[in-house]
Amino acid sequence: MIRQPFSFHAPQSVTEAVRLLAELGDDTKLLAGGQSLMPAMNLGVVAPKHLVSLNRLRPVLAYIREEGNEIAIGALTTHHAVATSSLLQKHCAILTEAGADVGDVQIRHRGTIGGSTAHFDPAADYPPVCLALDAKFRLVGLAGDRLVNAAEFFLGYMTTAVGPQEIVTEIRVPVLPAGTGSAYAKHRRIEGGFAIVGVAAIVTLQHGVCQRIALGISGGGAIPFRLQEIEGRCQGRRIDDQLINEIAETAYNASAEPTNELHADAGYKRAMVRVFTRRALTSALARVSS
Amino acid sequence: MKKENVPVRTTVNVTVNGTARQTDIDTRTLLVDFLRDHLGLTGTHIGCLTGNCGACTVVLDGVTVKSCTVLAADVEGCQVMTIEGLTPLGKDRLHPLQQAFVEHHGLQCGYCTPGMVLSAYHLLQENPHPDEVTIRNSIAGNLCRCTGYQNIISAIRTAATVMK
Repeated sequence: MIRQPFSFHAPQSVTEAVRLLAELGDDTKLLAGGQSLMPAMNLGVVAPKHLVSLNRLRPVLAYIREEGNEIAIGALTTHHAVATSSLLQKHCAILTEAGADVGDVQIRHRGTIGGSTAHFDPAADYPPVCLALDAKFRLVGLAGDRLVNAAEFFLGYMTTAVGPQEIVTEIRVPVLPAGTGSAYAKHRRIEGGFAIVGVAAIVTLQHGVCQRIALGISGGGAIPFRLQEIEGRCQGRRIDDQLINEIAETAYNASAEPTNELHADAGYKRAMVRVFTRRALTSALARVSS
Repeated sequence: MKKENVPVRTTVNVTVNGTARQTDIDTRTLLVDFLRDHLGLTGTHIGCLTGNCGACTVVLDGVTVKSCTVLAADVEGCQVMTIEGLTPLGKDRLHPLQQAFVEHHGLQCGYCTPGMVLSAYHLLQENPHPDEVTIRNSIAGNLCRCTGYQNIISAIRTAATVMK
């Protein structure tokens, strides 16, 4: 039984939700899928005085739609919907890989991409993928809405750019161009477990030569990062085995301070960054559409 | 320091195993608590309260969820099916899945079983002909400490052929 009493609110619109957040003040948490928040409340490690459930907003905030050269995903879209979306499979397949890797069937049925990214466990699956994709997050508050790029969204351990009175309403990802291959390679102890290391690789080739490469890496530091130093270096080159090894080594070097965890110490995680960078890149290249 | 009073009760209207219910509850009531304590449907079990073990699995609006991670207040207007919902005609008329679990010895202590059966039920609704990898994946959210899973997988495979 949750010990701390709380008032429960279930707004029927985003406007009402934002207004409630402002009215109720600091000791308020937003509840989406609850796959992170409810365990925390059950354990008593989080005990808000007020809970604002967004679950009445699923009809308006759960969607996946093509909008020009982007795909807009409502924040309350479940991991299951992300994982099984034919639109995403066609245009941004790497995001479906991340969605399919979250937890288990039950968790994917209830948990949401907006809730997960706003929560920002550093070992989660979406963040390195969102970094590699340059995904954008729509945040709505009393002052209006703003779009924040992934690079400015994931700030620190379980800390994002979402203000205390803001709500994530949408995530936008690019329609990946022709000639792109992508892969999310995840090292985890058990099926559905959090990533010990997770590498998202997206490469675009033209006539066999690299036009764009993006790598998002989790497990190599306190929070996931984008391996920007290799991006310019690969431009205009064929990505052969030697270059893959070079990139994997750069990823290793960039992972100077992985956090120690129960099942994987920092040295092990660092070594696995090298392995999984190589795997993600190899898979991404094999999947480059002709 | 005086704690400010917060309104801590709410009403929930929810359909459980086909029956509409309206109850006044403490906001802290988990769906699993509501089912077990308010409705007496004790087939749904609590194993961890952290969303790991899956013993609390129920079907909510057609999909399996872990009911310890859902607040009763949040299922307003929803449809819930518990393990009891698989035997609408009583315990003498087991669902083919339950029959298969019995025949294949897919349970020992039985604690994980309701959740396991409902996960299998959902799988076979989505995919009537699952291969072994798919079956294993579908029960990844249900932990069993007794059986080692092999007989559970056999039971699900048999049920799939019977239910075709």
